[in-house]
Amino acid sequence: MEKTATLDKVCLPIGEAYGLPNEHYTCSSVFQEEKDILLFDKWSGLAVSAEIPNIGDAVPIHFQGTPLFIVRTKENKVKVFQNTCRHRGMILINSAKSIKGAIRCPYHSWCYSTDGNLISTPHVGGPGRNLHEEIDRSKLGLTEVRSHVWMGVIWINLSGNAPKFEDSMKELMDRWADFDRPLFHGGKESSFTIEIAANWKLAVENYCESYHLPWVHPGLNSYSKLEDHYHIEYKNKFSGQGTKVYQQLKDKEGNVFPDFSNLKAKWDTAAEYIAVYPNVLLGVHRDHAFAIILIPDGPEKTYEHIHLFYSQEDTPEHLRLRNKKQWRLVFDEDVPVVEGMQKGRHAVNFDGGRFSPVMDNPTHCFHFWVANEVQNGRIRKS
Amino acid sequence: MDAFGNPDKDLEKKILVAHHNNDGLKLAELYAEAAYNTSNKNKACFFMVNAYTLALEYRHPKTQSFFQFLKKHAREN
Repeated sequence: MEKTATLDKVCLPIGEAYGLPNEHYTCSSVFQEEKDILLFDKWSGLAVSAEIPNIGDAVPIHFQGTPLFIVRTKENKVKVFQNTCRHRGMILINSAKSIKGAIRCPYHSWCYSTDGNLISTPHVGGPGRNLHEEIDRSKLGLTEVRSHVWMGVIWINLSGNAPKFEDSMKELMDRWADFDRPLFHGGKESSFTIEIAANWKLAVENYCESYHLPWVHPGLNSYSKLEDHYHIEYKNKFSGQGTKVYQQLKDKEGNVFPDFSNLKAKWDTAAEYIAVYPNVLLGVHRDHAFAIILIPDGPEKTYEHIHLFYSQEDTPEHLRLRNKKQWRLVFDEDVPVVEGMQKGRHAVNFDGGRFSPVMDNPTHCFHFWVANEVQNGRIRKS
Repeated sequence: MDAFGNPDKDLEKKILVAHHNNDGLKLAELYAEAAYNTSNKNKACFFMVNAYTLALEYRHPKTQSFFQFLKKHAREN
């Protein structure tokens, strides 16, 4: 009851509101609660589909303690399954592999097709007998997790309770309809991971506001000033920032990445950076996009998996490397402030903080969503 | 094959080596060989279940024929 009362202050209008209380960044039990309410009940980012480029590719992934695997089926569809055999709960896939035929459990060799059907149950009816009248294979397929691929990201809804992906993301999909097309992952050199000693929400909060740019990213001041940025807010869905002065990366000869075709004129100079609640940070530009998937590892540690995408499969490698270096620098610059805010959450008298009524709107939008969802979740539970 | 329908020592050794080498395709073939070499129906089906399982995993070209063997003996459907 006390926790709910505290969250009421978060949901006030921005000029009166306070940020989320410390326990939402430091407390294990609140972390577990948010895991269920904010991550499992919503469409969360899990991985990128580029991790399984070929038919039969399968990769095991733990998502908040739940063993899953992603697989590209024989029909070239991306699917996500719980990584457990329906027999004894054995882990089916221990490391990334290419499945040639069936997925065979390493324990008693029950076999599944890549689309999850149980297709063989060796010796289940006794030695040499693959059948037993009480074992109905049609009811013992792998446990599938709802999934959807958009912007190169594999999104999952573990609880199965969220509305359809297209309904949940409609507003953003409409806003970025220009980018609803094949995105080409830049390959291994276009991915990197940053480990931060901070709660995952602080990474979201830092990403979605431009207020910190002049101080934390001074390199941007010369061409992308604070006044060139605008807020993006859609209540209970996403928030972020845009810039009106995006400049393409160029090499000495003036070569640039090829643009995505048929973009609206707005994108000649605009770029947008949006935190899609809960854990995916997306950025779009005329010539490339990126996705950051935040994977929390307890209340005070987060992995940021960053992936860069381009408009074509073959883009100049030297430009891709420079682009990665440039973004790596920007994201590394954010680490000390995100980790500093985490440390600040251990100050017993910190009250959640006050927002700038003008500059912190996207952050408040996110806090409002967290507080509102957690409060509703607590009411449902009670 | 000995009098009890067990694979001969040589075949058994090959099976163990293939297991050790994690050579699923070879294993499928060796288990199928063990199945075809015995006149004991239960033993044959035991080996063929193993052959069929590995054939499924590795997409062995004879997967269907192993399946038909088991189906004929009402061990698969």
